[in-house]
Amino acid sequence: MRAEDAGVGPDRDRTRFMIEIMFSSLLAMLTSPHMMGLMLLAVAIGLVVGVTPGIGGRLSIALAIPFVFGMQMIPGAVFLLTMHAVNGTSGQISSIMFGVPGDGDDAATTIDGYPMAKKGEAGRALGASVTASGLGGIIGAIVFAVMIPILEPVVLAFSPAEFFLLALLGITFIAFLAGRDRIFQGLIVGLFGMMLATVGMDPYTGTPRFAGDLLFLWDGMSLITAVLAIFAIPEMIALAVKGGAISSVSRETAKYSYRQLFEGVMEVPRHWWLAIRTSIIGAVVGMIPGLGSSAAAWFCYGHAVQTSRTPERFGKGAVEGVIAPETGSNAREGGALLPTLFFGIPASSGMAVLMGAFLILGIQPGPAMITERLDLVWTLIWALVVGNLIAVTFLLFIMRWVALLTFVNGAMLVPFIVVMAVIGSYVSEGQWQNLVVLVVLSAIGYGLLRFNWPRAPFVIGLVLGKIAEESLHKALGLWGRDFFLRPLSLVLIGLIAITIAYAVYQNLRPRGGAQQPVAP
Amino acid sequence: MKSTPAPMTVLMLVIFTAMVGIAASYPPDARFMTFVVGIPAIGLCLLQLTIDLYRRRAPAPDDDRDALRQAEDQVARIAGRRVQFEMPSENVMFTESSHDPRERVRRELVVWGYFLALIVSILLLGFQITVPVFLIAFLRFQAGTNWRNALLYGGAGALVMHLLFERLLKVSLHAGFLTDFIVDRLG
Repeated sequence: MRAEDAGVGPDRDRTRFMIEIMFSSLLAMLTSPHMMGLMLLAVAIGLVVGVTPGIGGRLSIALAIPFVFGMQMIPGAVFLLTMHAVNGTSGQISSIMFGVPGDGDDAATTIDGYPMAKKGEAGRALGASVTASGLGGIIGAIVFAVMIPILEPVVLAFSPAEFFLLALLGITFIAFLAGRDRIFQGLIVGLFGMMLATVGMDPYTGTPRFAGDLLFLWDGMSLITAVLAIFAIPEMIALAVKGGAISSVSRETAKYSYRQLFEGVMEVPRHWWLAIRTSIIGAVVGMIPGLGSSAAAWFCYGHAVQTSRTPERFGKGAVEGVIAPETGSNAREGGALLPTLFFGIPASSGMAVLMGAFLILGIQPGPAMITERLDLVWTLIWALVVGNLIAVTFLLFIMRWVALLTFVNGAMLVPFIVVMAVIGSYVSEGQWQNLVVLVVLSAIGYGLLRFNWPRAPFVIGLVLGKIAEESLHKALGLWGRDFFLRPLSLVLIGLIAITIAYAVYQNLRPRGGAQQPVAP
Repeated sequence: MKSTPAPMTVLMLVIFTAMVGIAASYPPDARFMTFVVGIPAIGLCLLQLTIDLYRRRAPAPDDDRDALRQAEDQVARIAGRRVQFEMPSENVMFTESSHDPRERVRRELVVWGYFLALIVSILLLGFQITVPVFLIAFLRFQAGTNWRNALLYGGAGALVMHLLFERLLKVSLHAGFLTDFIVDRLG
């Protein structure tokens, strides 16, 4: 909905319009049984996925895409975002109770959470972590909301024609995220995604590119099949190859009382200033593409150590060491949504898959999100807030049972998820040929995984490829080659060049010592 | 996992070169984007190959500190203070289970065999026959569950998927190219 359409002047009544949209979005969400039902389902799935070993947030989104394919734009987006946002809230259960992090983000929580559990304070650690995580998610959403009016002029400076360079910048950043010494691999994978996006009928000449007589390819490569092949199947094959469960871990640490849990919940208001600071740090870190998914948690943990009067307690079971990474890690999601929605640059690999899903739903990231789809933006912000509230409430009551999922043997999940992925690939277009494409791309995806190449840039390349091509034709039609000399284009080209130059330096300089771990 | 990345670089180089070569026969507007993406990609692949060779000649020294000490270093860099982590020794957080390389390849071949068999079987016999058989076989022989649990979980899983997709979502799943022929033959 545009401000002008709502009958208000673009400047004078902008604030009133924003407030109206803000509350009408919340009201529309809360009063819609369909939307609330979807959110409850998304929270339940997200929590289960978060605690189950071997299924990450990216994989769960990839698997959910076929189910939201026919959904309307807003309910579909709310479902996926809520599921993604609450993943981390349950991920730390296994970190604290058994010392087994759900994914890279939870590693920092394990440092103090598991020693607390070993000291018989599992309930206190869990109460603190779940509450901190929920609070972080909510503050992250608030930071995102506060940034909208601040960033609006910057976002609106971009024209649709610059989307080509934004797509390249997005691929560069997400490649950088994979690790500074792997940026070329990331770029190659991103360009591979863009190349596959050219498969199908060319809109300008009607030439069936790389499709020949294969009619099913004339409409282009199936996004769902490609995403499932690059993410889901390789992950499952790797999990089956690795095998085993974590049943050897002692379950003794999992014992706690609800009184302990409540004490843990109260630790967050007791350390409110730390929780707010680390939430803001997490959200800001989340806005910066390339810092990696676990960076927010470690930055916040480091900040808690830095500002503590008794830093010697950290690493031995300090509750602040649980609160800080949890708030930061979950606040990151709100921050990461900002570049994803407004610039089409996903800040993390999870956001990359989420953005792919958004594009499938018909959501076009870019300046139009502010000028035309502010209702959707606010609905997503509220989805983060409400989803986190529901997740925290759920978890505080059912954590004891959810924790048992940690002991599920990963190898037992593999066949079910593989079948789901295969069905998803077939259902997306109802074409059996997509199963053949699934096999071929899965082999490439497994090769990328096996040789430690980043896979997230592939999704960006694939989903942005068509838009980038259209944008490039449009820009060249409007400005010719001068398009590359426009001030904003020069800024974008400069950013791409600086990122790549830094990567070249990192690759070719004499090596020594450990690289900072960055989640792929 | 430390592996030489050269095979993937070569594969990507071949893919990009083939696609650019094929696109050369298209009209200018149709091949424009393919060239814009493909030619720089070929350049990047060649650059990556150079890096692969450079690294093979001057490999990075192995960092033999354990992951816990690396985490301590990381926090010390951020906080400007050093703290010691006391992770109980049985914790599995910072350990990575690894198979013998030959055993790993064997397991990879087996799992890929299951996956390919699943796809071929779906194409020939359809989802309804293949899915329960695949689930039960994988659970029994690959996940190591006993026959009772494999039949129980596999059967239940297949039933849930049938109800979810074919009944609830009204999706018509592929019936298989040979199913009708086999049913006819069986009378």
